[in-house]
Amino acid sequence: MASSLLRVALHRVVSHRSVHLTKVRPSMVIGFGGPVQLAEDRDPNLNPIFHESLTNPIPDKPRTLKYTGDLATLKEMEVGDWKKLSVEDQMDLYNSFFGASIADMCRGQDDWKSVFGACMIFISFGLLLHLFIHLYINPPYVWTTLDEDWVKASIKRQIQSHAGDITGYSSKWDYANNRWK
Amino acid sequence: MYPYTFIQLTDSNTFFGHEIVLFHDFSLASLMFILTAVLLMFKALKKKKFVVLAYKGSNMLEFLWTFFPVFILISIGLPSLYLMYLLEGSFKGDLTFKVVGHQWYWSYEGGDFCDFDMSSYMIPSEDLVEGQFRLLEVDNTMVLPYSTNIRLMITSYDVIHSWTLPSLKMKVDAVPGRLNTMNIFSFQPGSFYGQCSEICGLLHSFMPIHVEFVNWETFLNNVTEESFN
Repeated sequence: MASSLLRVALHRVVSHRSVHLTKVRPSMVIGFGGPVQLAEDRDPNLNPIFHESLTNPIPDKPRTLKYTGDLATLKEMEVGDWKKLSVEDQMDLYNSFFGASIADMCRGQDDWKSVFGACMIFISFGLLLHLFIHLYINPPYVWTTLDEDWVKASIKRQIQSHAGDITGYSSKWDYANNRWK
Repeated sequence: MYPYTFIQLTDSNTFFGHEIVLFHDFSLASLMFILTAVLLMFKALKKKKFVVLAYKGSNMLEFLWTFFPVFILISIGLPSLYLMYLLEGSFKGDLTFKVVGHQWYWSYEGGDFCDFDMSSYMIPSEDLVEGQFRLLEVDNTMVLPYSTNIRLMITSYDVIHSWTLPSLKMKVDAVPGRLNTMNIFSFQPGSFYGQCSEICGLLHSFMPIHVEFVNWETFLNNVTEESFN
């Protein structure tokens, strides 16, 4: 219960932006398989298990199970001559059966931009915390075996012991002239 | 020994090490082939030009995506088995030594050739001389002769450890109550480092291995000194 409410709330945050860069069809907003709906908001005339995708483009059952009102009238007209149907009527009938056209499915959404932005905000908070700890909390620097002098001495030791004579430091040292190759 | 920005396998000093490196390169080539094929498939599918006619089932597709992985696995598995039997094969060792793992140090014992028993503890970072390697230096190194067939019998006193020498491509588990045998033959003298490779408690990261391969004269002098000590 809590997780579904959280999903709805998060989706409402990412889906409401000032500019919609993709053209959203009305049928894409309503229906299962799209944005999350709570049980009390669900339309009883619609197929609750409707699913379509590029890999399964023709669903087993239409999106609308029960035709009411104008749609019922259009459904009766569909039986007759299609030339009597206007373009808008044909589009309504198409939208009542399918959720989205192939072109709509191929177009994709731009929700990723909101998600990416939210992720960047959290990452930046983490980086700021890391910077604060590094500047004000971490202890002062102590010597390590990665200091420049120590590294040079260890490389010299490796060359003296002929360690890595095929791909290591010794392979790049000119022993005859006592310098790097 | 590793340079500071090294990401490959180290140079091998044994015959088996060369074979292991070759097998590693072959396995990586197979993996690169698989990765490239999958990435190309991703790139091709992104264009959305493909229409799946038999999207509810396809016997040919199932056959292909079973056969090709099996073929790739067998092509990797057969050389791997060959190499495994090669490593474990019959080997006549001229010298035998024992390695015993403890918490948290190694001890080395002489076998049939000489009688000595020494413990090898890590030198702490505070006691290192400039140029020495952190977490790798020990107080008593194991000195062995090079160009000699040496048999090592490895066991443990308490918990499971693992005696590892990456430069010799060796990794042998030290299991309490069990003697694991491994053979060493180094082509050339040198100093080789390793670390315990099986989690064994608090100081698991602080029980290194240091083996020096020297000529016979130095080895005999060292062994005699150890025996008297």
